[in-house]
Amino acid sequence: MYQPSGDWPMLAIAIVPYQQYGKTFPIDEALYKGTLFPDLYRPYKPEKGGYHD
Amino acid sequence: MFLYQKTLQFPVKVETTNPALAALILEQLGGADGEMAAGMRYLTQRYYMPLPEARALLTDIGTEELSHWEIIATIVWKLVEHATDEQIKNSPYAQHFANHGRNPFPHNAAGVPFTAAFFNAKTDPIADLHENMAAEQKARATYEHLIRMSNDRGVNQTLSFLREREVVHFQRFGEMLDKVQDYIYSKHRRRDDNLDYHRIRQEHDRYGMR
Amino acid sequence: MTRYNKDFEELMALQFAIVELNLFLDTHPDDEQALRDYNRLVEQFEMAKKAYTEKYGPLVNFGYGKSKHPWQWVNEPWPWDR
Repeated sequence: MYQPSGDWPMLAIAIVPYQQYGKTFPIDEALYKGTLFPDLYRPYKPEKGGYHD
Repeated sequence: MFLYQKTLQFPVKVETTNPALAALILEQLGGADGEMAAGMRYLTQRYYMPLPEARALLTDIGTEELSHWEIIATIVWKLVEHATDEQIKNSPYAQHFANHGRNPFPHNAAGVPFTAAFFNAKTDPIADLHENMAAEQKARATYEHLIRMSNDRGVNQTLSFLREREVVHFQRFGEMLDKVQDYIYSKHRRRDDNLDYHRIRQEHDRYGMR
Repeated sequence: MTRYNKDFEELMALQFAIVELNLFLDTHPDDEQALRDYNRLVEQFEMAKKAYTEKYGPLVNFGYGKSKHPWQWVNEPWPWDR
């Protein structure tokens, strides 16, 4: 569980974690998935109650 | 300046003729959470961003959104291109047809025309970036609604592509928010001997924030 | 029904990866690996664009490719019409 230290981050701000560069899909696959990055691939599955993986 | 490349960003393959679905897809052509709103929003916000990377990101994502706008218009076009007057007459696309014929036009699924009231630019980069992150989530949710409404495999493949782009854009705006917040708050942070910007960034690394 | 030829799909796949990396580099301007990958893809894309332009005419308007006679830019199909 992330514990802030010092005065950063401050209250009343939002933080999104940084992506690290790593694996990538091959480019034809990337096009059809909508991203180069497996880390960011979040397909929508309406059969599974409407929430994505 | 703007140039045009004679490709679509994604190979749009529409398998059916379906004016009813076209009427719904118009939501992303002219709606509040659609691609025109996104493109205009980001391109309008560029001017007062305090960091050059932010100006670049807003320009680049804004440009990509215009390419998505083109994809949505293409989906609508292909869904009605071969529709007969009878098919259109008996569908929600009839209202659109009365004014515009078959041609796509930027209004939402309920017929509300596109307006600059759908987006904002406030000179405040924190406010603008939060609006952008919210916009990406709303667009993602809209694509999920549209995917549930569509039985056309080619359309769904394209909608899934566009939906995934929203996830990626959210991430990029989130990263840019972090950079902007660092920049803004570091100038105003209390100064004492033990609190320096370099050390704060090291703490970011320790907690996996970069 | 839609027909996309292989040359066109290759352009789209390369272009997409380039856009993705462009956005990544906007928020990670110091990432060397990403930059190497971007530049490598740009080289491939330049070659693919050159070959495509030679065969079908300019891909981008306003001076980004030469045309044969008669003016090729107006050629069909336009991308939404494929």
